[in-house]
Amino acid sequence: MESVRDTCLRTAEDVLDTLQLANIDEADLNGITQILQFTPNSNKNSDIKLLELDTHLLNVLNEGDCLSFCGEKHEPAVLCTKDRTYDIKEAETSNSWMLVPNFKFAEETQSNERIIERRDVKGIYHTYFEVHNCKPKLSKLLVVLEPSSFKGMEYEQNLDRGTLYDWHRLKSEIQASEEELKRALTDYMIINIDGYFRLISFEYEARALTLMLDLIDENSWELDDIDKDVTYESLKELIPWPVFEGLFNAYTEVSEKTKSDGTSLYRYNEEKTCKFLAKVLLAACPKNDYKEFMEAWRIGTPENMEPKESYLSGVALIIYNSSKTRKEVISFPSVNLSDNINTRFSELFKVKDKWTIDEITPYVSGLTTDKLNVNALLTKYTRCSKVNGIKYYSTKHGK
Amino acid sequence: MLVRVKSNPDGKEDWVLIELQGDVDTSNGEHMKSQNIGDFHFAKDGTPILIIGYHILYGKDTPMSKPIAVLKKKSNSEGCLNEEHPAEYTVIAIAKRKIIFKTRPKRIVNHFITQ
Repeated sequence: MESVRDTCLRTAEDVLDTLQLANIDEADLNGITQILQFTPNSNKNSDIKLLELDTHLLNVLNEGDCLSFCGEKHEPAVLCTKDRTYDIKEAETSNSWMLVPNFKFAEETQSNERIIERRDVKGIYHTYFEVHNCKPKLSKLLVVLEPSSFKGMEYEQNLDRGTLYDWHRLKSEIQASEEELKRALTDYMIINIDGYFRLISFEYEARALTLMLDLIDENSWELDDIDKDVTYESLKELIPWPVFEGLFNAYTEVSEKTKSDGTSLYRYNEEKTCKFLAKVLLAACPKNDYKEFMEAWRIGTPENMEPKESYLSGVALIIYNSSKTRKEVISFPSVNLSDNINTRFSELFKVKDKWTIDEITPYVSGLTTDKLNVNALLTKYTRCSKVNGIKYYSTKHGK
Repeated sequence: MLVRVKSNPDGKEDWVLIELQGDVDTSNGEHMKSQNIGDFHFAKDGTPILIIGYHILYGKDTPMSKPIAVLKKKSNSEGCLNEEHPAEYTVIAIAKRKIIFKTRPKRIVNHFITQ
C-alpha cells in the first residue's frame, strides 16, 4: 500500500495520477477530493468510547440532557436517562470503523475545478457499546432497604443509622432512572421519613392498617365516608405523619362524598384492603383449608367489604390437594420468585401444572418489556392447551 | 456509582463513520501517524469511491438507524472528579451517517497491466 507509507503531502497531481492509473474518468467525479489522513493524535483511543444511540437517547443528547452509567463495581453497568434504563454491552464490529470530523458528503463536494481537502481521521475502532432498553433493576431496592425498614416509633431509637438511605445514596446504588425509581418508591410504598427512604415492615403495616380499619366501626362510618383528618388525629400517637400519609394514599381513594366544608371523604379500596388482610392470614399460616380460610378472611375484613377469590391473585393460589382431598389456599407471593424468566416459569409450573391467563398474569407481568407483553411471554415460554373451551398454559417441555 | 455523560447541544460535531472491511494497516508495519490513508471521491451519481494504495473501493452512503455517539473521558487533571464521580464523559460528536464499503476492493494494478 504505497500511499499509506507515503508521509509527504499528496498533491492534486498525485490524486489525478492515481485516478488515471485506476482508469477512472475525472469528469465523472465531483470536484472536491478529500484525502483521509492520520495525524499524530489519531488512534489515541483510550479515552474515547463509542455509544450506540436509539431515538430516545439521541433526543436526550440533542436536548442537552445528561446520561449516566450506573452500577457498583461488581455489577454490569446500565445506562440511564431521566426516565429509561438501558442494558449496555461492549460489542465488537467485524469491520473497521473510521471516524472522520468535518467530512463533506456528496452534495457538498460539487466544484468546477479539482480541490484537494485534507481530513484528519480520529481513529479506527472495533468496539462500541450496544444499548438495549430494559426494566430498571429494582430487586436490589428491597434488599438494601430491608435493614432500615420502619417497624414503629418504639424501634426508631435502636436503628442503625448507617443502614439508612437518602435519595443520593439510593440513586447511586440502584440501577434505575430517576423517574422509574420514584415510581418504584410509590409502588413498594417506600416512605420518606426525615429525608431517608424507608420500607414499612409487614408487621407494622398490618398493625397500622388494622388500627385504621377499626375506626370505621368505632365512628360508624359508611364505607365511602372515611374522614382522613379524623383518622390521623385518632392515630397520630402511633403512626407518624409521613407513614400515615403513605398508607392512607395506598389503601384509599377519594369518594364521591364530601364533608360539610367541601373537603373530600375517602373510601378504602376493597381489593387492596382485602388482599393485604389475606396476606396477614397467610403469614400466620401459609397452607389452609379453603373453606376455613375464606371464613377467617371474611371475619377479618370490615363489614360490607366482601373478600373475593380473585383478590388472591399474585398472593396465594387455590389448589386441589388430592392427598387430603380438599381445596386449599396456599401462600404464593410473586415477590419471592426469580427474576430470570426461565427459572420463574419452572417455579410456577412446579407449584401448579396448568394456569389460566388470569391466574398466571400477576406472576409474570413483572417480566414484561415494551417488546414482550404477557401474551408474547406465554407464547414463547409455555404451551397452550384448551380444556372445555378454557385456555390453559403449561410447561413447554414435559407431559 | 454514577458516571455522568454530559452533552452540550451546541458543542457537538457531526462526524461521519466510514466502515471498511478488514483492517487498515501500513504495508511496512510502521506506526500510523501523519500518513495518508487514501483519496475519497464522490462520483457524480453520489457513489463514494475510496482509493487506498492500489485498491479501489465503491461504497454506499447510508443514514444510521442507530447513530453512534463519541464519548470522551474527562481527564482527572481537571480536578472536578472525586471518589463519588470517578469519571465523567462528554459527548464530543455524533455520527448519524455512515459510508460503508462492503464490496471487495478492486486492484488497480490489474487495469494497469492489461492496458
